[in-house]
Amino acid sequence: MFEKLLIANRGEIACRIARTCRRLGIPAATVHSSVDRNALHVQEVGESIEIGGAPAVESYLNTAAILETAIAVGADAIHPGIGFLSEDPEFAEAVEAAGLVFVGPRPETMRCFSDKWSAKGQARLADVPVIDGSEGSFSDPEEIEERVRQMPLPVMLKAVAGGGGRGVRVIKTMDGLSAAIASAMREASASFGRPDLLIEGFVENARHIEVQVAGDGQGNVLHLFERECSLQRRFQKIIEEAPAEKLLSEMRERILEAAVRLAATVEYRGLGTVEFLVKDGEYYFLECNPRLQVEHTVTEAITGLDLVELQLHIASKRTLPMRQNEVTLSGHAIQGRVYAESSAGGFIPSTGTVLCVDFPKRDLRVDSGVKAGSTITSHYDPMIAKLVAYGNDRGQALAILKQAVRKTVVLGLETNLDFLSSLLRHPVVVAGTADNGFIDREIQELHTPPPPPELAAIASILWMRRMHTQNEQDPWSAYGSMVGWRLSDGIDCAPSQPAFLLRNGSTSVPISFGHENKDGSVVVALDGVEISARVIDGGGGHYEAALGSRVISVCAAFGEQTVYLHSQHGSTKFAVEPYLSVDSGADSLNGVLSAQMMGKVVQVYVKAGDKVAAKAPLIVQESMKMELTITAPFDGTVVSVGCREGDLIERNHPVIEIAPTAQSTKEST
Amino acid sequence: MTVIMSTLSTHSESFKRNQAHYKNLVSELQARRQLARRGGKQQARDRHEAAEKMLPRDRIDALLDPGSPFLEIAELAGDGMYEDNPPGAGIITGIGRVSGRVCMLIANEATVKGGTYYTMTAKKHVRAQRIAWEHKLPNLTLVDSGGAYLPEQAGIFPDEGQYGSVFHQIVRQSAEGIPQLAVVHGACTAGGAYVPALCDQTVIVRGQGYMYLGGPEITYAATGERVDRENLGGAEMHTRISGVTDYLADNDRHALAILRELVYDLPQRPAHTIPPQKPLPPRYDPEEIYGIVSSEPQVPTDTREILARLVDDSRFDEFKPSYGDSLLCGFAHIMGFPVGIIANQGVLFTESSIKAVHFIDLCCKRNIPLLFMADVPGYMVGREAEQGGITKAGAKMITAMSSANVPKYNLIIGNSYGAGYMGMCSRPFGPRLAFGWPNGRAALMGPEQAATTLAMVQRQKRERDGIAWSSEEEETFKQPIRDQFTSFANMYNFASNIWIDNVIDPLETRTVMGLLLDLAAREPVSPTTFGVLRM
Repeated sequence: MFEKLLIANRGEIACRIARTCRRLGIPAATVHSSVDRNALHVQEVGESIEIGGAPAVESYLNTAAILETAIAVGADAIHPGIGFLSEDPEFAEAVEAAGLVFVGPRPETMRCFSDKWSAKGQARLADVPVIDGSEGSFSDPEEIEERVRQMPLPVMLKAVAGGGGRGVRVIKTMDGLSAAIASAMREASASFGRPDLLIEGFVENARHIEVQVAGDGQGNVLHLFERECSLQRRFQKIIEEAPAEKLLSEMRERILEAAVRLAATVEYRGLGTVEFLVKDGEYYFLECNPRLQVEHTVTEAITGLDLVELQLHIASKRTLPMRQNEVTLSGHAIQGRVYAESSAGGFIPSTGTVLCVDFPKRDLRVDSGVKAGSTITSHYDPMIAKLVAYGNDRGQALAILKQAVRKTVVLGLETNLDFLSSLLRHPVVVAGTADNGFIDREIQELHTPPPPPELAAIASILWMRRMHTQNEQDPWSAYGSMVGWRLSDGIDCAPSQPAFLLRNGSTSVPISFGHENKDGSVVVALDGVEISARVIDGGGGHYEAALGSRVISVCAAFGEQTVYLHSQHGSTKFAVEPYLSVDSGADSLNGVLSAQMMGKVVQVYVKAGDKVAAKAPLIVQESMKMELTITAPFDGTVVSVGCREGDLIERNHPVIEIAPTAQSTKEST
Repeated sequence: MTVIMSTLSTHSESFKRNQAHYKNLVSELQARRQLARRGGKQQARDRHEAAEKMLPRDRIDALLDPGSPFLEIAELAGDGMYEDNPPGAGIITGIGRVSGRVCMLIANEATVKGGTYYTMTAKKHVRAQRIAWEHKLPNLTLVDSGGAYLPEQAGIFPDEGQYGSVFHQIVRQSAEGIPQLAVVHGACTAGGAYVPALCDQTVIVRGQGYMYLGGPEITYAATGERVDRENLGGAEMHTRISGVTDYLADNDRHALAILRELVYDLPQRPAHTIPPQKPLPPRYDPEEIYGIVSSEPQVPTDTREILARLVDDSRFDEFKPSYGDSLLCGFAHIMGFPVGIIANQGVLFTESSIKAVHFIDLCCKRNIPLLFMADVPGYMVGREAEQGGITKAGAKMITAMSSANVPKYNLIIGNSYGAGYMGMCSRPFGPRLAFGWPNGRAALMGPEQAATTLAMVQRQKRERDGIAWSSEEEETFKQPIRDQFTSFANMYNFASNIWIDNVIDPLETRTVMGLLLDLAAREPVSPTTFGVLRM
């Protein structure tokens, strides 16, 4: 085995590789960028060298710096992890040229599979079915358009050098075709350095089945069974499981054999994944990923193997440690990926600081790369953790995962936890019959309903308490209850005006407090709805809220003007906004414009009824040898013009009136 | 520090009797507050809200920070003085936190006679300014006033402490850098217009706020010019043309939001000069004070038992406990703030007065605020007392108390009669604030002594004239005097006249004092130079 391993990656996968190293007694070191100094992987691995700035090209993609580091720390092998340089044949070559071992397939294998067209060719050679499409890939938009016209719709454009769903467009109608081509090519160029696209038929609503293979580089290949990853959004996997449920055993056998056959034709070395689409009793080769995959965990769960150990074994010994019949399968595993993203907003990655993170420990494997205080930036993948549930059967695994997702606390930024929760409850997912178009079709059904008002009430109480405790030394902040202390008139009316506005998403609710009762309960009025709650601090960010006879447990964290709450309803973000806002003026748009100087009107551009855009010139006045132009303050319609060319106008005399369009009023309020 | 050991029995008959009596007093206090806070007549309030204007108390609630205390000042002013009983004298004044800064809020009650100034309105406004000035609190004035109430001109126009003093104090505070901010919420004529015009920064509400020295009618009468009120003194005109006002708001809420921003932009106030320690509750239940305060005038109250329920952890470090023991002097904390307490435990003797002088000097040297808790029938009279120099000792105590520049507070917890009223730092001696408990009584002398004294004079006169005076006749003579002194001595009479700043429930005392000691601790105090102390 190796003297020392350099883990050239970050996040959960770096932590995960380090765990295997620790178990095997292999010393390990890692690298980090300037923004990752306090990252979890730096802490977990124990030795880390800063190799560059935040952008990946300066750090995690910086071959020279990584090689230099490997030598400096005395490593004799490099594990590239997932993403970054893991599929870069030039990096693999550079590692080997430096006399180090690259833990991964041979460079020529990577080359063969990194180009989707050559991968397809290799599959055909191995007699593995592929999706019909254009012969070759193209970089001329007109040629692509021409090819698309010759094929039955729908078709799919794919960046030939791509992966991870980038540079992919589905063409269902000819409308907007050229725009779709242009945008796919732009994305391909930006992501992979090549704009070339491949065109093939779009196999809609198929299941995504993939096979984990391992080879010794001399033609011996075995498989570690299949995984199903049909639940995808934006062509990216979100739930993965092994084995595939509801897959006929005859089809499973065909797919497993095809994968092994393909790997054998290239004398595959190391670990790899062969991906297929399955539909209507047919299967099609999709691609082959020459690296560890994010979802390798579910294969580990059902086979009992450590795939990183297997990688290290093959890399150091060039042999397979077991025969096919020694690989056995038992039980069922499902993985949910927790992302920092806005599920409701089209799965856009969200960024920010993780204020609080807590994973359930029992009966669950958690691979995470973040801790409280970690920052999710736009520089790297926004994945927070993988939750891997294992059970005797699929039902048990699913139940464990569902529970785990509900109990996972990540506060401080938007996550997909709620989305995962509703996804795992959906009957189609429960039945195990979802295909890869499922999320897109059912997206409206899957979004979680807005949080119940009780949570807003609890958030309001916690916020006021926080304000009090922050100013404990100041009696003018800290005295009395939520409503503020008053000389008592025996009625103890709450203030007539709301304390603040609490916003969740686009919904904003005024919050008023009633007096705190002797038992500590407070009445919170949310836009007229009254909720009485007693919130007890359980320490460590945990609170118990009693609402009548019901008790809700929540976990809370606070931002600058934000309360993050986690409860059985998932995680919710509430923004605290002042009740009075200087922008709250109902008619702050004054459309009556007056002359700023005394002077002669030299030009009138508009007449009553004209539509004008903001900043459009309306009237030009001459005064003190200067021209002054009166412009429209907002989009609107001219109501009246109070002057003509040649008029001499007094200062402050109204000259024109504009009525704002509904839109501009809305924007201003 | 010494913890007071209470010897109180909460099962005694007298405790229960006192407690029942006091609960009635507190109910009466709360009923009076309810009345004062009601605002104008329902019709007037409905009309105000129909015009989409916020009621003044709603303006205050919206302006204050969420959860901010609001310590109302003189809310019972004018109570019972006017036939139509303008609640709170038609103006609301109080201290609260706005944009993180403690401010004095002054709001005209436009639903009471158009927010015009009665005698007590002007006095209350002036008093609120005075408190703000002493504590360097920004003044936030929510102007909605028609100016002077003409029939009351004697009480508002000619003298100091009246309407003119409102102007004068705006200017002098501004000169000292105490921010003066105003919102014009309604039509402000003449004097009403000067208040916002004199302020540092002024917001006006469009279509609702007007300012002019003479309204359209007066302008027509005086000059024959016909002009509508928008052109004469509207918000647009004053903000765009005359420059009388600085910020134009669309409505009350918008105006208050602008005002909050203006406060936010003020420079930070200084931190505490006396850092508080962690506030501790008294070891004995403060509610037991209800059963301690004697319900019968002739039965004295044990002040030490009251102190045990007022000060932090019931710790009272008594000064000279074995000397002049009819006056309790000692160091304590209230809500974490250090305070020197001077509290009566009977008649003031020469020794007790001398002890007070020594203690006041200590507090001035150490910059510790002084709380005077009055329950005193007066200074001792009689040959022994006079020969012992009681007048000299009393003068010395008054000189020391009057000279003291540390923050002083007056709290009438029982009787406060005669020169005792003076010696215990009542209004004339410039306490930062003065309060009375609902059981408090203050007058030149007690009702019985007053009746007896006057009857004696009457009897001597009659004896000189040789007119017989039966004891029945004497009793008929005395009763109205007793009644008059009793009603005069009532704390609501003092509150109505703003001779005290509020009547407070004993249970509110700790909170009120905590808020005030906090304000006092934020500003440095000038050193004390004593007047000549007669030796």
